[in-house]
Amino acid sequence: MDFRKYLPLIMIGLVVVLVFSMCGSYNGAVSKEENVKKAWSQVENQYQRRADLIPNLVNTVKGYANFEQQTLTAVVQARASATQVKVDPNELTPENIQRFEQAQQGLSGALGKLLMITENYPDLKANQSFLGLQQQLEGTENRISVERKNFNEAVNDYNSSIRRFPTNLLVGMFGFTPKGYFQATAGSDRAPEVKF
Amino acid sequence: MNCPMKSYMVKQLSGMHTISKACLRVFWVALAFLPSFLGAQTDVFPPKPEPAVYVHDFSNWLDRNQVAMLEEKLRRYHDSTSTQLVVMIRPDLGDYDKSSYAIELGNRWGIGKKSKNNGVVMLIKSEQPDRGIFIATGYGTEGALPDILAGQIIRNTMGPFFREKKYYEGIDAGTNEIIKALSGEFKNDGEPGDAKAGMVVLVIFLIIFFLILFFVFRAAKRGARMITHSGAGGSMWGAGWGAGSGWGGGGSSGGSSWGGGSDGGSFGGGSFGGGGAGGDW
Repeated sequence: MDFRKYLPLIMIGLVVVLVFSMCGSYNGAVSKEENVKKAWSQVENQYQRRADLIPNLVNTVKGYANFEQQTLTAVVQARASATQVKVDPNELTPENIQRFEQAQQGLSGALGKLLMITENYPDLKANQSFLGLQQQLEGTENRISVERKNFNEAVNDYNSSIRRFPTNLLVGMFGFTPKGYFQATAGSDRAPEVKF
Repeated sequence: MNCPMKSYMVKQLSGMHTISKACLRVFWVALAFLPSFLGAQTDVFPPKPEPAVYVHDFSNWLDRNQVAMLEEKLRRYHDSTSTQLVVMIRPDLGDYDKSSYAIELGNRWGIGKKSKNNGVVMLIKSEQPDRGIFIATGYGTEGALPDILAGQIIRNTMGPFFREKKYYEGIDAGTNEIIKALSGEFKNDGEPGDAKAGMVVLVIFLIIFFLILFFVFRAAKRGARMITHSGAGGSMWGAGWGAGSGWGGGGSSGGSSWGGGSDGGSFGGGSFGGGGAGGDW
């Protein structure tokens, strides 16, 4: 008897609790999505930093007579195509991340080849500005790998939160879609192992 | 007459005993293996020392006096500037290379203050293969101690000492150079802003907590006259909720109080973004 009397109250209570928890999880998903975007901008910053170092590097190396023109133009071209691939922070889909990564990997490969060839030029290796550029490049690769890791962690946090109840009920309503990860393929995670 | 009965019961009991003994043995074996499962990942990273310890020598390169002197210097440096400079000497790094180990160590321990990210890790891998030094800089120290400068400190300051096996002198000179590079960059202001904000939040939560408690009790008193059951339920619910909000306030103020450490402090959540440079000697 008593139970029936309180049934509407209990129902209302349940609905209120559900609505509150949905609000909470919606806000949580939004802030996690913002974290992903922030981590992505850091990744892009560091790749941009690497791209910015390349003209200086090419100019320094160009000064040395009979340096392989082919390798230099390959680097310049790879840089141009890598900087063209931009990903909208609102569309960090797995496909877009993969596209971005492929373009950057092309540049990593060309750059690695260039630095390997510099081994054959003792004068170049003694050049102070070249040494400085090498060091900056090395530091940039370290930063890239840290920011990639941070990005993957942020994505993991976000992706697992939108699959959980009750956020998963909101996914369709508010368009939360899973985001893409960086793949650790063939040592790309650690950036090219550049031996100086 | 009850002899066989007794022996049967004893048998039964002893059987149970052996079963439970076996269970216990399995439990102990599992317990013995547990740390190796858990520790497999973090083995090469020592647990974060609390309070902070700045010099870690796993290769026995330094004698006790030298460790104490370095520790004293770095501790005092922290007290005056809040910058945390950790020296880690290790014979092996597991699967990590020098740069990723140093950066990971900085991030795991949270070396440097959270608001300034002013931590530096000087990692020395004492044994081949891949012997060498890596100086990792936290986000906040990258500007004053750029990679090029860190590389120069390793090549020009520490390298010559290390080649003569003067390890203490090399580390001492290297840390002095880092301190010089960062001079004037940070000062220990105890992060008063954060602590104040934490206190304000705590006070507000306490006021809300007591207000809720007051209203709930008054409502309960009134309600008790009309419907005893629902009144009691209401007060339970109110008290539970109020206690929850009070806990939130405590948490946020606890986090901010880390900033004001003075006796060597503790590692406070600084993060590392991959800055720094490495080299051999």
